Amino acid sequence: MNSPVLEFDGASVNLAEEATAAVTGIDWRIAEGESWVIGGLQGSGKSAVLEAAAGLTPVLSGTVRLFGVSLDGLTPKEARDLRLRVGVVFEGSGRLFTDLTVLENLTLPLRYHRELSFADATEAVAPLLESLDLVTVASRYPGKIGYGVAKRVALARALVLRPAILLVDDPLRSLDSTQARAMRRHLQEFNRGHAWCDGRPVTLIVTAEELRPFVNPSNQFAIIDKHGWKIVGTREQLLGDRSDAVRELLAEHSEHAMS
Amino acid sequence: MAVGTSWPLGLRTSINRTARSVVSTTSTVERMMAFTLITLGTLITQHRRARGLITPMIGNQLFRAGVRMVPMVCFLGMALGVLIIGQIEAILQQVGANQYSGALVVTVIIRELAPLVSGLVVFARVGTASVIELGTARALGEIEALEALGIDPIHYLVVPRVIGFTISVMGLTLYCILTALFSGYVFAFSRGLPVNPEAYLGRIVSALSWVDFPLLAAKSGLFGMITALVVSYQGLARPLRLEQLGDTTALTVVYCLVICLIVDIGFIPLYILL
Repeated sequence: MNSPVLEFDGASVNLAEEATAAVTGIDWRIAEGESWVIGGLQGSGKSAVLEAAAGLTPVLSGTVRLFGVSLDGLTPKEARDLRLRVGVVFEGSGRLFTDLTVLENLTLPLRYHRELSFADATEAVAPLLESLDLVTVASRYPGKIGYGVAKRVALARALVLRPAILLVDDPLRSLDSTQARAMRRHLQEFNRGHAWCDGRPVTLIVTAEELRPFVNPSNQFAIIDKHGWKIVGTREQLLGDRSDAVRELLAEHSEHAMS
Repeated sequence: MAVGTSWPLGLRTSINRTARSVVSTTSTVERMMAFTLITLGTLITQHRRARGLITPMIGNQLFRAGVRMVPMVCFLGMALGVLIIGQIEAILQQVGANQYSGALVVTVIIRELAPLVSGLVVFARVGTASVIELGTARALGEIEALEALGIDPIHYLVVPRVIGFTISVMGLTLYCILTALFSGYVFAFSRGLPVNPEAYLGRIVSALSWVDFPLLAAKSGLFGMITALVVSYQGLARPLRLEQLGDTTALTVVYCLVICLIVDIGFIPLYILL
Protein backbone atom coordinates (compact mmCIF):
# COMPACT_ATOMS: atom_id res chain seq x y z
CA MET A 1 0.00 0.00 0.00
CA ASN A 2 1.22 3.50 -0.83
CA SER A 3 1.89 5.94 2.00
CA PRO A 4 -1.26 7.66 3.31
CA VAL A 5 -1.78 11.17 2.03
CA LEU A 6 -4.83 11.81 4.20
CA GLU A 7 -5.75 10.27 7.56
CA PHE A 8 -8.69 10.77 9.90
CA ASP A 9 -8.28 9.35 13.41
CA GLY A 10 -11.48 9.25 15.48
CA ALA A 11 -12.55 12.57 13.96
CA SER A 12 -15.93 14.26 14.28
CA VAL A 13 -17.01 17.07 11.99
CA ASN A 14 -19.84 19.55 12.19
CA LEU A 15 -21.92 21.45 9.66
CA ALA A 16 -21.19 25.16 9.27
CA GLU A 17 -22.19 27.25 12.31
CA GLU A 18 -23.47 24.20 14.21
CA ALA A 19 -21.85 23.05 17.41
CA THR A 20 -23.07 19.46 17.32
CA ALA A 21 -21.30 16.81 15.28
CA ALA A 22 -22.75 15.90 11.88
CA VAL A 23 -20.47 12.90 11.43
CA THR A 24 -18.68 11.09 14.23
CA GLY A 25 -16.05 8.39 14.52
CA ILE A 26 -14.27 8.92 11.22
CA ASP A 27 -11.30 6.55 10.98
CA TRP A 28 -10.02 6.64 7.44
CA ARG A 29 -6.73 6.35 5.59
CA ILE A 30 -6.37 7.34 1.96
CA ALA A 31 -3.27 6.22 0.12
CA GLU A 32 -1.63 8.10 -2.72
CA GLY A 33 -3.41 7.64 -6.05
CA GLU A 34 -6.58 6.08 -4.60
CA SER A 35 -10.05 7.10 -5.65
CA TRP A 36 -12.77 7.29 -2.98
CA VAL A 37 -16.45 8.08 -3.12
CA ILE A 38 -18.25 9.28 0.01
CA GLY A 39 -21.95 8.54 -0.16
CA GLY A 40 -24.58 10.21 1.97
CA LEU A 41 -27.96 11.85 1.76
CA GLN A 42 -28.34 15.60 1.47
CA GLY A 43 -27.32 17.36 4.70
CA SER A 44 -25.57 14.26 6.03
CA GLY A 45 -22.21 16.05 6.38
CA LYS A 46 -20.34 14.96 3.24
CA SER A 47 -19.21 18.50 2.47
CA ALA A 48 -18.13 18.96 6.08
CA VAL A 49 -15.86 15.90 5.79
CA LEU A 50 -14.32 17.32 2.59
CA GLU A 51 -13.80 20.76 4.16
CA ALA A 52 -12.13 19.14 7.17
CA ALA A 53 -9.93 17.10 4.83
CA ALA A 54 -8.87 20.28 3.05
CA GLY A 55 -8.10 21.95 6.39
CA LEU A 56 -10.74 24.61 5.74
CA THR A 57 -12.67 23.83 8.92
CA PRO A 58 -11.30 22.28 12.11
CA VAL A 59 -12.64 18.96 13.34
CA LEU A 60 -14.64 18.89 16.58
CA SER A 61 -12.55 16.02 17.93
CA GLY A 62 -9.92 13.59 16.75
CA THR A 63 -7.10 14.29 14.31
CA VAL A 64 -6.74 14.90 10.60
CA ARG A 65 -3.33 14.48 8.97
CA LEU A 66 -2.49 15.66 5.47
CA PHE A 67 0.72 14.20 4.05
CA GLY A 68 1.55 13.03 7.56
CA VAL A 69 1.18 16.51 9.08
CA SER A 70 -1.51 17.07 11.72
CA LEU A 71 -3.77 19.99 10.85
CA ASP A 72 -3.96 21.05 14.51
CA GLY A 73 -2.07 24.19 15.43
CA LEU A 74 -0.47 24.90 12.08
CA THR A 75 0.93 28.36 11.42
CA PRO A 76 -0.82 30.23 8.58
CA LYS A 77 2.19 29.59 6.32
CA GLU A 78 2.23 25.86 7.08
CA ALA A 79 -1.53 25.66 6.46
CA ARG A 80 -1.15 27.54 3.17
CA ASP A 81 1.70 25.30 2.00
CA LEU A 82 -0.42 22.22 2.69
CA ARG A 83 -3.48 23.67 0.94
CA LEU A 84 -1.47 24.23 -2.21
CA ARG A 85 -1.21 20.45 -2.51
CA VAL A 86 -4.98 19.98 -2.21
CA GLY A 87 -7.48 21.00 -4.87
CA VAL A 88 -11.07 21.62 -3.81
CA VAL A 89 -14.08 21.76 -6.11
CA PHE A 90 -17.04 23.12 -4.16
CA GLU A 91 -20.58 21.94 -4.78
CA GLY A 92 -22.97 23.75 -7.11
CA SER A 93 -21.26 26.13 -9.52
CA GLY A 94 -18.00 25.72 -7.64
CA ARG A 95 -17.91 29.13 -5.98
CA LEU A 96 -16.17 30.80 -8.90
CA PHE A 97 -15.14 34.42 -8.40
CA THR A 98 -18.01 36.24 -10.03
CA ASP A 99 -16.11 39.47 -10.72
CA LEU A 100 -13.36 37.64 -12.63
CA THR A 101 -13.57 36.02 -16.06
CA VAL A 102 -13.06 32.28 -16.46
CA LEU A 103 -9.44 32.89 -17.49
CA GLU A 104 -8.84 35.25 -14.56
CA ASN A 105 -10.34 32.65 -12.20
CA LEU A 106 -7.87 30.08 -13.50
CA THR A 107 -4.81 32.31 -13.57
CA LEU A 108 -5.39 33.80 -10.11
CA PRO A 109 -3.64 31.02 -8.12
CA LEU A 110 -0.61 31.16 -10.43
CA ARG A 111 -0.41 34.94 -10.26
CA TYR A 112 -0.67 34.86 -6.47
CA HIS A 113 1.58 31.92 -5.59
CA ARG A 114 4.01 31.76 -8.51
CA GLU A 115 3.98 35.55 -9.09
CA LEU A 116 3.45 35.08 -12.84
CA SER A 117 2.27 37.94 -15.01
CA PHE A 118 -1.21 37.59 -16.47
CA ALA A 119 0.26 36.82 -19.91
CA ASP A 120 2.57 34.10 -18.53
CA ALA A 121 -0.21 32.62 -16.39
CA THR A 122 -2.53 32.60 -19.42
CA GLU A 123 0.07 30.71 -21.40
CA ALA A 124 0.60 28.30 -18.50
CA VAL A 125 -3.09 27.36 -18.16
CA ALA A 126 -3.71 27.00 -21.91
CA PRO A 127 -3.24 23.18 -21.92
CA LEU A 128 -5.67 22.82 -19.01
CA LEU A 129 -8.27 25.00 -20.74
CA GLU A 130 -7.92 22.88 -23.84
CA SER A 131 -8.03 19.62 -21.93
CA LEU A 132 -11.29 20.55 -20.19
CA ASP A 133 -12.78 22.13 -23.31
CA LEU A 134 -12.94 25.63 -21.85
CA VAL A 135 -11.14 27.64 -24.53
CA THR A 136 -14.33 29.14 -25.96
CA VAL A 137 -15.57 30.43 -22.59
CA ALA A 138 -12.24 31.77 -21.30
CA SER A 139 -13.18 35.42 -21.64
CA ARG A 140 -16.68 35.05 -20.18
CA TYR A 141 -17.77 35.82 -16.64
CA PRO A 142 -19.12 32.95 -14.51
CA GLY A 143 -22.61 34.43 -14.63
CA LYS A 144 -22.60 34.08 -18.42
CA ILE A 145 -21.73 30.39 -18.64
CA GLY A 146 -23.86 27.31 -18.10
CA TYR A 147 -23.93 25.25 -14.93
CA GLY A 148 -22.08 22.28 -16.41
CA VAL A 149 -19.37 24.54 -17.83
CA ALA A 150 -19.05 26.31 -14.47
CA LYS A 151 -18.43 22.91 -12.86
CA ARG A 152 -15.61 22.24 -15.33
CA VAL A 153 -14.14 25.71 -14.67
CA ALA A 154 -14.21 24.96 -10.94
CA LEU A 155 -12.46 21.65 -11.62
CA ALA A 156 -9.84 23.42 -13.74
CA ARG A 157 -9.25 26.05 -11.04
CA ALA A 158 -8.74 23.33 -8.43
CA LEU A 159 -6.19 21.65 -10.72
CA VAL A 160 -4.24 24.76 -11.70
CA LEU A 161 -1.61 24.29 -8.99
CA ARG A 162 -1.23 20.56 -9.84
CA PRO A 163 -2.47 19.26 -6.48
CA ALA A 164 -1.69 15.81 -5.10
CA ILE A 165 -5.25 15.39 -3.77
CA LEU A 166 -8.45 16.48 -5.45
CA LEU A 167 -11.58 16.86 -3.33
CA VAL A 168 -14.75 17.21 -5.38
CA ASP A 169 -18.09 17.92 -3.74
CA ASP A 170 -21.03 16.30 -5.52
CA PRO A 171 -19.60 16.63 -9.05
CA LEU A 172 -22.56 15.10 -10.89
CA ARG A 173 -25.44 16.87 -9.21
CA SER A 174 -27.77 18.58 -11.68
CA LEU A 175 -25.69 17.60 -14.70
CA ASP A 176 -27.35 16.00 -17.70
CA SER A 177 -26.13 12.56 -18.74
CA THR A 178 -23.65 13.88 -21.34
CA GLN A 179 -22.13 16.39 -18.93
CA ALA A 180 -22.04 13.78 -16.15
CA ARG A 181 -20.24 11.30 -18.41
CA ALA A 182 -17.71 13.98 -19.39
CA MET A 183 -17.15 14.96 -15.76
CA ARG A 184 -16.59 11.31 -14.71
CA ARG A 185 -14.16 10.88 -17.58
CA HIS A 186 -12.18 13.99 -16.59
CA LEU A 187 -12.01 12.88 -12.96
CA GLN A 188 -10.82 9.41 -13.98
CA GLU A 189 -8.18 10.86 -16.30
CA PHE A 190 -6.67 12.95 -13.54
CA ASN A 191 -6.88 10.07 -11.08
CA ARG A 192 -5.03 7.76 -13.48
CA GLY A 193 -2.44 10.36 -14.37
CA HIS A 194 -2.93 13.28 -16.72
CA ALA A 195 -0.31 15.15 -18.72
CA TRP A 196 -1.22 18.35 -16.83
CA CYS A 197 0.06 16.70 -13.63
CA ASP A 198 3.05 15.18 -15.46
CA GLY A 199 1.30 11.82 -15.56
CA ARG A 200 1.25 11.60 -11.75
CA PRO A 201 -2.01 10.09 -10.41
CA VAL A 202 -4.02 12.56 -8.39
CA THR A 203 -5.65 11.10 -5.28
CA LEU A 204 -9.38 11.63 -5.75
CA ILE A 205 -12.15 11.97 -3.19
CA VAL A 206 -15.65 12.79 -4.36
CA THR A 207 -18.97 12.97 -2.57
CA ALA A 208 -22.25 11.81 -4.01
CA GLU A 209 -25.87 11.34 -3.05
CA GLU A 210 -26.15 8.53 -5.56
CA LEU A 211 -23.35 5.97 -5.78
CA ARG A 212 -24.50 4.10 -8.89
CA PRO A 213 -22.68 6.38 -11.42
CA PHE A 214 -19.41 5.82 -9.54
CA VAL A 215 -19.59 2.02 -9.35
CA ASN A 216 -16.41 0.97 -11.12
CA PRO A 217 -13.43 -1.17 -10.12
CA SER A 218 -11.06 1.72 -9.43
CA ASN A 219 -13.24 3.37 -6.76
CA GLN A 220 -13.54 2.64 -3.05
CA PHE A 221 -16.55 3.65 -1.03
CA ALA A 222 -17.44 5.08 2.37
CA ILE A 223 -20.87 6.20 3.50
CA ILE A 224 -22.36 8.47 6.11
CA ASP A 225 -25.47 7.04 7.72
CA LYS A 226 -27.27 8.54 10.71
CA HIS A 227 -24.21 10.62 11.70
CA GLY A 228 -22.02 7.51 11.59
CA TRP A 229 -19.06 6.84 9.32
CA LYS A 230 -18.77 3.48 7.58
CA ILE A 231 -16.03 2.28 5.25
CA VAL A 232 -17.72 0.01 2.73
CA GLY A 233 -14.67 -0.84 0.61
CA THR A 234 -14.41 -1.90 -3.02
CA ARG A 235 -17.08 -2.10 -5.70
CA GLU A 236 -17.71 -5.77 -4.90
CA GLN A 237 -18.11 -5.02 -1.20
CA LEU A 238 -20.46 -2.14 -2.00
CA LEU A 239 -22.64 -4.27 -4.27
CA GLY A 240 -22.63 -7.06 -1.71
CA ASP A 241 -23.66 -4.78 1.16
CA ARG A 242 -27.36 -5.28 1.81
CA SER A 243 -27.79 -2.51 4.38
CA ASP A 244 -30.62 -0.05 3.81
CA ALA A 245 -28.25 2.89 3.71
CA VAL A 246 -26.12 1.44 0.92
CA ARG A 247 -29.13 0.24 -1.06
CA GLU A 248 -30.71 3.67 -0.79
CA LEU A 249 -27.52 5.35 -2.02
CA LEU A 250 -27.44 2.87 -4.87
CA ALA A 251 -31.02 3.89 -5.58
CA GLU A 252 -32.26 0.34 -4.91
CA HIS A 253 -35.07 1.21 -2.53
CA SER A 254 -35.79 -1.53 -0.04
CA GLU A 255 -39.27 -2.04 1.34
CA HIS A 256 -38.12 -0.35 4.54
CA ALA A 257 -36.77 2.64 2.70
CA MET A 258 -39.88 2.84 0.53
CA SER A 259 -42.13 2.84 3.54
CA MET B 1 -29.34 37.08 41.86
CA ALA B 2 -31.65 38.39 39.13
CA VAL B 3 -31.41 42.15 38.80
CA GLY B 4 -34.40 43.99 40.20
CA THR B 5 -36.96 41.19 40.05
CA SER B 6 -39.34 43.43 42.01
CA TRP B 7 -38.81 46.33 39.58
CA PRO B 8 -41.44 47.26 37.00
CA LEU B 9 -41.34 45.10 33.88
CA GLY B 10 -40.71 48.07 31.55
CA LEU B 11 -37.67 49.18 33.55
CA ARG B 12 -36.25 45.64 33.66
CA THR B 13 -36.73 45.29 29.92
CA SER B 14 -34.96 48.59 29.29
CA ILE B 15 -32.03 47.65 31.55
CA ASN B 16 -31.73 44.24 29.91
CA ARG B 17 -31.83 45.74 26.42
CA THR B 18 -29.23 48.38 27.32
CA ALA B 19 -26.96 45.77 28.90
CA ARG B 20 -27.25 43.50 25.85
CA SER B 21 -26.51 46.44 23.59
CA VAL B 22 -23.40 47.39 25.63
CA VAL B 23 -22.13 43.79 25.61
CA SER B 24 -22.78 43.44 21.88
CA THR B 25 -21.08 46.75 21.03
CA THR B 26 -18.08 45.92 23.23
CA SER B 27 -17.75 42.55 21.58
CA THR B 28 -17.98 44.10 18.08
CA VAL B 29 -15.34 46.71 18.96
CA GLU B 30 -13.10 43.94 20.32
CA ARG B 31 -13.48 41.90 17.13
CA MET B 32 -12.89 44.97 14.95
CA MET B 33 -9.68 45.69 16.83
CA ALA B 34 -8.54 42.09 16.35
CA PHE B 35 -9.41 42.39 12.62
CA THR B 36 -7.42 45.64 12.45
CA LEU B 37 -4.37 44.03 14.07
CA ILE B 38 -4.56 41.01 11.74
CA THR B 39 -4.85 43.32 8.71
CA LEU B 40 -1.93 45.50 9.78
CA GLY B 41 0.11 42.37 10.50
CA THR B 42 -0.69 41.03 7.03
CA LEU B 43 0.13 44.39 5.45
CA ILE B 44 3.57 44.38 7.08
CA THR B 45 4.51 40.72 6.80
CA GLN B 46 3.21 40.10 3.27
CA HIS B 47 4.12 43.36 1.58
CA ARG B 48 6.49 41.55 -0.78
CA ARG B 49 4.09 38.76 -1.67
CA ALA B 50 2.32 38.65 -5.08
CA ARG B 51 3.18 42.25 -5.88
CA GLY B 52 2.34 41.79 -9.55
CA LEU B 53 -1.23 40.94 -8.57
CA ILE B 54 -1.76 43.15 -5.52
CA THR B 55 -0.19 46.40 -6.84
CA PRO B 56 -2.70 46.77 -9.73
CA MET B 57 -5.49 46.05 -7.25
CA ILE B 58 -4.22 48.92 -5.07
CA GLY B 59 -4.16 51.08 -8.22
CA ASN B 60 -7.75 50.07 -8.91
CA GLN B 61 -8.81 51.11 -5.41
CA LEU B 62 -6.92 54.41 -5.79
CA PHE B 63 -8.83 55.03 -9.01
CA ARG B 64 -12.20 54.13 -7.46
CA ALA B 65 -11.75 55.93 -4.17
CA GLY B 66 -9.39 58.68 -5.28
CA VAL B 67 -9.41 59.76 -8.92
CA ARG B 68 -13.13 59.19 -9.49
CA MET B 69 -14.01 61.13 -6.34
CA VAL B 70 -12.00 64.25 -7.28
CA PRO B 71 -14.90 66.09 -9.00
CA MET B 72 -17.24 65.39 -6.07
CA VAL B 73 -14.69 66.52 -3.48
CA CYS B 74 -13.82 69.61 -5.50
CA PHE B 75 -17.48 70.51 -5.68
CA LEU B 76 -17.87 70.07 -1.93
CA GLY B 77 -14.63 72.00 -1.35
CA MET B 78 -16.01 74.89 -3.41
CA ALA B 79 -19.26 74.78 -1.48
CA LEU B 80 -17.34 74.86 1.82
CA GLY B 81 -15.26 77.78 0.54
CA VAL B 82 -18.31 79.80 -0.37
CA LEU B 83 -20.35 78.87 2.69
CA ILE B 84 -17.66 79.18 5.31
CA ILE B 85 -14.62 81.12 4.12
CA GLY B 86 -16.66 83.61 2.14
CA GLN B 87 -18.92 84.29 5.12
CA ILE B 88 -16.04 84.39 7.60
CA GLU B 89 -14.29 87.01 5.50
CA ALA B 90 -17.50 89.04 5.11
CA ILE B 91 -18.43 88.96 8.80
CA LEU B 92 -14.93 89.64 10.08
CA GLN B 93 -14.62 92.51 7.59
CA GLN B 94 -17.79 94.05 9.05
CA VAL B 95 -16.51 93.92 12.62
CA GLY B 96 -12.94 94.82 11.68
CA ALA B 97 -11.43 91.55 12.86
CA ASN B 98 -9.84 90.34 9.61
CA GLN B 99 -6.71 89.28 11.40
CA TYR B 100 -8.60 86.29 12.89
CA SER B 101 -9.80 84.93 9.54
CA GLY B 102 -6.65 82.84 9.04
CA ALA B 103 -7.05 81.06 12.38
CA LEU B 104 -10.73 80.39 11.71
CA VAL B 105 -10.12 79.03 8.21
CA VAL B 106 -7.29 76.80 9.42
CA THR B 107 -9.35 75.44 12.31
CA VAL B 108 -12.65 74.96 10.52
CA ILE B 109 -11.63 74.03 6.99
CA ILE B 110 -8.10 72.65 7.07
CA ARG B 111 -8.11 70.84 10.41
CA GLU B 112 -11.71 69.69 10.61
CA LEU B 113 -14.02 69.82 7.63
CA ALA B 114 -11.73 68.96 4.71
CA PRO B 115 -10.55 65.58 6.07
CA LEU B 116 -14.01 64.76 7.39
CA VAL B 117 -15.78 65.62 4.13
CA SER B 118 -13.19 63.71 2.06
CA GLY B 119 -13.51 60.68 4.34
CA LEU B 120 -17.30 60.79 4.15
CA VAL B 121 -17.29 61.02 0.35
CA VAL B 122 -15.04 57.97 0.07
CA PHE B 123 -17.08 56.10 2.61
CA ALA B 124 -20.46 57.01 1.12
CA ARG B 125 -19.56 56.33 -2.51
CA VAL B 126 -16.97 53.56 -2.35
CA GLY B 127 -17.15 52.17 1.17
CA THR B 128 -20.80 51.16 0.97
CA ALA B 129 -20.18 49.54 -2.43
CA SER B 130 -17.29 47.63 -0.88
CA VAL B 131 -19.48 46.29 1.93
CA ILE B 132 -21.86 44.90 -0.68
CA GLU B 133 -19.04 43.46 -2.82
CA LEU B 134 -17.31 41.79 0.10
CA GLY B 135 -20.55 40.70 1.75
CA THR B 136 -21.74 39.14 -1.49
CA ALA B 137 -18.42 37.33 -1.91
CA ARG B 138 -18.75 36.04 1.64
CA ALA B 139 -22.38 35.02 1.22
CA LEU B 140 -21.59 33.17 -2.03
CA GLY B 141 -18.73 31.25 -0.40
CA GLU B 142 -16.00 32.93 -2.48
CA ILE B 143 -13.93 33.63 0.63
CA GLU B 144 -13.72 29.89 1.40
CA ALA B 145 -12.76 29.37 -2.25
CA LEU B 146 -9.89 31.83 -1.83
CA GLU B 147 -8.77 30.02 1.32
CA ALA B 148 -8.96 26.69 -0.49
CA LEU B 149 -6.58 28.10 -3.10
CA GLY B 150 -4.17 29.16 -0.34
CA ILE B 151 -4.92 32.85 -1.00
CA ASP B 152 -5.15 34.96 2.14
CA PRO B 153 -8.48 36.90 1.84
CA ILE B 154 -7.11 39.68 4.05
CA HIS B 155 -4.09 40.12 1.79
CA TYR B 156 -6.07 39.82 -1.44
CA LEU B 157 -9.23 41.76 -0.56
CA VAL B 158 -8.55 44.00 2.45
CA VAL B 159 -4.96 45.22 2.07
CA PRO B 160 -5.55 46.87 -1.36
CA ARG B 161 -8.58 48.67 0.09
CA VAL B 162 -6.71 49.83 3.20
CA ILE B 163 -3.82 51.26 1.17
CA GLY B 164 -6.08 52.63 -1.58
CA PHE B 165 -8.58 54.32 0.75
CA THR B 166 -5.85 55.73 3.01
CA ILE B 167 -3.93 57.40 0.18
CA SER B 168 -7.16 58.48 -1.53
CA VAL B 169 -8.57 60.33 1.48
CA MET B 170 -5.19 62.02 2.04
CA GLY B 171 -5.12 63.21 -1.58
CA LEU B 172 -8.77 64.22 -1.65
CA THR B 173 -8.31 66.26 1.52
CA LEU B 174 -5.66 68.30 -0.25
CA TYR B 175 -7.99 68.90 -3.21
CA CYS B 176 -10.80 69.85 -0.83
CA ILE B 177 -8.62 72.39 0.98
CA LEU B 178 -7.29 73.96 -2.21
CA THR B 179 -10.71 74.31 -3.83
CA ALA B 180 -12.22 75.66 -0.58
CA LEU B 181 -9.49 78.30 -0.25
CA PHE B 182 -9.83 79.27 -3.90
CA SER B 183 -13.63 79.47 -3.95
CA GLY B 184 -13.67 81.30 -0.60
CA TYR B 185 -11.40 83.95 -2.00
CA VAL B 186 -13.38 84.23 -5.26
CA PHE B 187 -16.62 84.56 -3.31
CA ALA B 188 -15.21 87.25 -1.02
CA PHE B 189 -13.73 89.07 -4.01
CA SER B 190 -16.97 88.84 -5.97
CA ARG B 191 -18.84 90.46 -3.08
CA GLY B 192 -16.55 93.45 -3.37
CA LEU B 193 -14.67 92.80 -0.12
CA PRO B 194 -11.27 94.48 -0.06
CA VAL B 195 -9.31 91.24 0.18
CA ASN B 196 -6.08 90.89 -1.76
CA PRO B 197 -4.69 87.43 -2.52
CA GLU B 198 -1.37 87.96 -0.70
CA ALA B 199 -3.05 89.13 2.50
CA TYR B 200 -5.66 86.34 2.27
CA LEU B 201 -3.08 83.59 1.87
CA GLY B 202 -0.66 85.28 4.25
CA ARG B 203 -3.21 85.19 7.09
CA ILE B 204 -3.89 81.49 6.48
CA VAL B 205 -0.21 80.58 6.23
CA SER B 206 0.66 82.48 9.39
CA ALA B 207 -2.15 80.66 11.23
CA LEU B 208 -0.73 77.29 10.21
CA SER B 209 1.88 75.69 12.41
CA TRP B 210 4.27 72.86 11.52
CA VAL B 211 2.14 70.31 13.41
CA ASP B 212 -0.79 70.96 11.10
CA PHE B 213 0.91 69.13 8.25
CA PRO B 214 1.68 65.77 9.92
CA LEU B 215 -1.56 65.85 11.90
CA LEU B 216 -3.60 66.59 8.77
CA ALA B 217 -1.90 63.72 6.95
CA ALA B 218 -2.44 61.42 9.95
CA LYS B 219 -6.07 62.38 10.41
CA SER B 220 -7.09 62.10 6.76
CA GLY B 221 -5.11 58.86 6.39
CA LEU B 222 -6.78 57.45 9.49
CA PHE B 223 -10.23 58.30 8.15
CA GLY B 224 -9.44 56.39 4.97
CA MET B 225 -7.98 53.47 6.89
CA ILE B 226 -10.93 53.33 9.30
CA THR B 227 -13.35 53.32 6.37
CA ALA B 228 -11.50 50.46 4.68
CA LEU B 229 -11.23 48.44 7.89
CA VAL B 230 -14.85 48.92 8.96
CA VAL B 231 -16.30 48.07 5.54
CA SER B 232 -13.99 45.05 5.22
CA TYR B 233 -14.84 43.84 8.70
CA GLN B 234 -18.56 44.20 8.11
CA GLY B 235 -18.34 42.50 4.73
CA LEU B 236 -15.92 39.73 5.55
CA ALA B 237 -15.38 38.95 9.17
CA ARG B 238 -18.59 37.10 9.90
CA PRO B 239 -20.86 34.75 8.01
CA LEU B 240 -23.45 36.67 6.00
CA ARG B 241 -26.54 35.79 4.05
CA LEU B 242 -27.50 37.84 1.00
CA GLU B 243 -30.63 39.16 2.69
CA GLN B 244 -28.51 40.60 5.52
CA LEU B 245 -26.50 42.87 3.19
CA GLY B 246 -28.87 45.85 3.44
CA ASP B 247 -28.84 45.91 7.24
CA THR B 248 -25.09 45.33 7.31
CA THR B 249 -24.47 48.28 4.99
CA ALA B 250 -26.67 50.53 7.14
CA LEU B 251 -24.84 49.38 10.26
CA THR B 252 -21.51 50.07 8.59
CA VAL B 253 -22.57 53.67 7.94
CA VAL B 254 -23.19 54.14 11.66
CA TYR B 255 -19.93 52.46 12.74
CA CYS B 256 -17.83 54.43 10.26
CA LEU B 257 -19.37 57.75 11.23
CA VAL B 258 -19.06 57.13 14.97
CA ILE B 259 -15.48 55.86 14.82
CA CYS B 260 -14.33 58.71 12.54
CA LEU B 261 -15.91 61.28 14.86
CA ILE B 262 -14.31 59.69 17.94
CA VAL B 263 -10.92 59.75 16.20
CA ASP B 264 -11.56 63.35 15.16
CA ILE B 265 -12.24 64.31 18.77
CA GLY B 266 -9.08 62.47 19.77
CA PHE B 267 -7.05 64.91 17.66
CA ILE B 268 -8.25 67.98 19.60
CA PRO B 269 -5.83 67.48 22.54
CA LEU B 270 -2.98 67.07 20.07
CA TYR B 271 -3.77 70.38 18.40
CA ILE B 272 -4.06 72.07 21.79
CA LEU B 273 -0.89 70.52 23.24
CA LEU B 274 1.27 70.86 20.16
